[in-house]
Amino acid sequence: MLQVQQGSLYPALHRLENRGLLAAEWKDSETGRQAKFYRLTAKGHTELKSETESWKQLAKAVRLILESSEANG
Amino acid sequence: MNWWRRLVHRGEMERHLDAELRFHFDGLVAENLRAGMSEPEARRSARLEFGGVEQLKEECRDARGTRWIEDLWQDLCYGARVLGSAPAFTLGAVAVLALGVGVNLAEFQVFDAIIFHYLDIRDADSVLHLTRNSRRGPSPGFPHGAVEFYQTHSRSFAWLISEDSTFDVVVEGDAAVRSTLVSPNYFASLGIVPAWGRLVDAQDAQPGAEPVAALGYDYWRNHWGADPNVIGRIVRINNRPVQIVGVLPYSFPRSLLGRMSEVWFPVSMRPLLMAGTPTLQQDFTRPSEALFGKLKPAVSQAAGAVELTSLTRELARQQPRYFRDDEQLEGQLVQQSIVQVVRSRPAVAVFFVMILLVLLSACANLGNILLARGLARRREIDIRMAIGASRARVLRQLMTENFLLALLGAAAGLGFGAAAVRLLLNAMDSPHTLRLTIGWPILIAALVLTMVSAIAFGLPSALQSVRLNQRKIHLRQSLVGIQAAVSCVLLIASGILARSAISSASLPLAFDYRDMLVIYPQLDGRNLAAPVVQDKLNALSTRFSALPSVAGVTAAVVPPLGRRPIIDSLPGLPPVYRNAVAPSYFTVMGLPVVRGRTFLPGEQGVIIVSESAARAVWPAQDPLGQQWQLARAQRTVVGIVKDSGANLLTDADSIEAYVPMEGPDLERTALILHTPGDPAPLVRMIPGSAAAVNETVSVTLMRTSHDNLLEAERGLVILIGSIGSVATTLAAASMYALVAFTVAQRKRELGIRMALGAGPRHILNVLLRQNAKPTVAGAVAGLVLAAILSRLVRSQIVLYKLEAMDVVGFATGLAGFALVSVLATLSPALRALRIDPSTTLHDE
Repeated sequence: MLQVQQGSLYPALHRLENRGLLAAEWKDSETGRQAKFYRLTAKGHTELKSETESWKQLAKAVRLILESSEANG
Repeated sequence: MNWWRRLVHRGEMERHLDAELRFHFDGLVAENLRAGMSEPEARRSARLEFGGVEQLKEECRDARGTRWIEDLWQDLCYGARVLGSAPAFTLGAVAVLALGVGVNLAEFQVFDAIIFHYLDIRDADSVLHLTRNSRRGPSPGFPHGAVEFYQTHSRSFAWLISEDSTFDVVVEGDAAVRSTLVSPNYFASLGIVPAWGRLVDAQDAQPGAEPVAALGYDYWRNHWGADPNVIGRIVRINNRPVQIVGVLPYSFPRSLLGRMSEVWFPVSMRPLLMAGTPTLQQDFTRPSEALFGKLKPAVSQAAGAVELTSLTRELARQQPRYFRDDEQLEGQLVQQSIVQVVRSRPAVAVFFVMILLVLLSACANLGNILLARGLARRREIDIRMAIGASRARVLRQLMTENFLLALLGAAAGLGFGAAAVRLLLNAMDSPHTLRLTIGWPILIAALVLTMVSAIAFGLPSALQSVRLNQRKIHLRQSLVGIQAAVSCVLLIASGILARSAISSASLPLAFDYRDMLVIYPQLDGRNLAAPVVQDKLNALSTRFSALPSVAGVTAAVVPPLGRRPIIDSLPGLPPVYRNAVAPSYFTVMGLPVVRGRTFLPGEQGVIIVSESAARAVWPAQDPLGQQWQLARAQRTVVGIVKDSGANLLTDADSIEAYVPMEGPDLERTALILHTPGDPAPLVRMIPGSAAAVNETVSVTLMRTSHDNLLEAERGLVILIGSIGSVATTLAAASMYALVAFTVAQRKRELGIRMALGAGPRHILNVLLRQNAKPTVAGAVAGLVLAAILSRLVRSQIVLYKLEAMDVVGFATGLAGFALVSVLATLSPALRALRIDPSTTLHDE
């Protein structure tokens, strides 16, 4: 359905880091190699919540429209 | 990591980015290997799944938010390389900017120094000049008794000082030297530190103090050979032995009233220097001192004036003969504000317009250079845009280069400005009396001026380079037009001003001011009856006539070239300079009565007009016997005299009229003394001669008044004149650049034309035609603008003789422009003629 190259994740991660929504640190991974670990900051949590909320709203609205048009159609 | 660290630790950021992406990629490869793929297969598949690493890295760099500054740095480096690789262009552009901005800076500095910083005193911005005002009008000054009264009783002033610079003295029997008498606290209060020795101070006020004098710096330098040993020497001043005790600093050449002064005395020496003047204590008869004061902190100007006014009431009670009870004291700041300056000397506004025009001319010039440069770089820009640079990116790059140019221009402008200031000051002959302030305001002004001009005039050509603006021909032609118009205006304006300055300097005066002395008897404000005043004047005249080498004495209310003209404005007529004079005035002044006669003694209801007045008022009739309503009376014209010319110094259009002296005029009368020899020795004798009839007088050489009058506007005219030379340079530079560029750009075409047999005339025609139209159009626009401006200037600059439409001035300016254009065009055009078709075509 959605074909996204995996690398495209990184510009997005960096943008979020730049906006202060993500914090990153270098730690040992399970393979023993250094890896960059991202976590949500407090600001990130708030943003996530509000974005989720607005997505739900949008989805609900879209569903309502589709259902009503199906019912009428 | 914050923004700043991300910017600074770029290397680290790159390593992290690389490791981060590699970690993910290696993970994908490992996964593929585990799924049973061969090594190359696993890598290929991972690359497909992951995407282009370099593109991703670029996107991640953009995401960091530090990109623009990295780009800016890159642009700056690139710009510096580009500017370095085209030194001729860079030098030209920087020179033009530096010229435009440097001139502005220099003129502002000199202007600032002349107007605002000529008073180098402590607290210059809070020193008040106090004047008397009553229903009878303003009074000239304060008697010394009053000054002491205020000093003793005032509570709201930190200090009060007085100066009296109304008379000249004779030093060592030589020329008449301008002097100022000051109160003993004068220099200490103003915070003036002597250059050598000491200045007038409190010890000079002690009873029995020796007569002392301090010399002005210029006078000491020019007449005493800058010899510090002059201190302690006894010299004869007005034939009295006076000890020189010190030299003033160069920063204080004028009294607070703005009068140049060469010798400074304590006011207590007045009776000694001017025989017959009353001793100082409790003297109210001689209102010749100007009063200045500085308010104590937290006292308002109004409160100070109120206190002095109430003290004046008390004075009026004690000395009703010399003070009126309706007198108000008013304070005015010694240091003028810019608004006051422009209001009192409207020529200043013209000056501002002119330096802005110079800047505009420089900018148009720069715009042209940049435009030419843009055309020359078209290939480079095209390639950059073809390989994917966006318009915005290229525009930013070009503007960064302009920014660099502006920085260079600002630096060069400051340097040039500093040199120009020195030149200007030398030209104005006052190199060390002015204090220049090169501070932050100047630096910031330089930067702002260059930035604004480089950006405003660089943008059009940059826009054109990225093809956002297709009308390049119009742009170029309008820039050429602006340049021509502005150059024309500036050249014409300086032509007119130069002519007016020359004609004023050589203005023919019908009388010989060098042989004249003006004597001001102190008769006003004493409430004397008219016959008494007349008697006193007669007594003084008789005394003065008896002095050796005096050819004649006469009386006039308005001594020519003095500071108090009476001007009547009548509908439909030029300004009338009115004077009330004694019957002998015309004979003593040497003004021939052309027709009719002079006044008869005691005659009233008559008037004598100058030839110019006769022409202006009765163009078609015989003026003699005509009636004219002037000076509150219907008067019959009895005579016509030659124009004196003195009024023309201040107003080129004005005319003159003379009426007989009447009662109220008498006490304001000045006596004019004519001597065929050197008037200087008389300056010494006159006070003593007046003292013999118990009167006190002050004496001035008419020559001094003349010099003072001309000195006033001379500096400004030199400033304006200097702008003309810069305008010429700019005009020449722009013409040169235009043609030189055309030659370089069309070298190949010209080569082909020559190969096909075009002669020199044809080639020159091709070269010149391109800019001819906008140049001529600009010149015409400039002519119109100059005509408008000259009307404006004429109504504003009163001192110099400006004709309504100075044809010669206009012609000079235009001819100058044409000459400069042709000369500047010649060298590149001749170079074009030397183009060798075979090599040129071969090169391409």
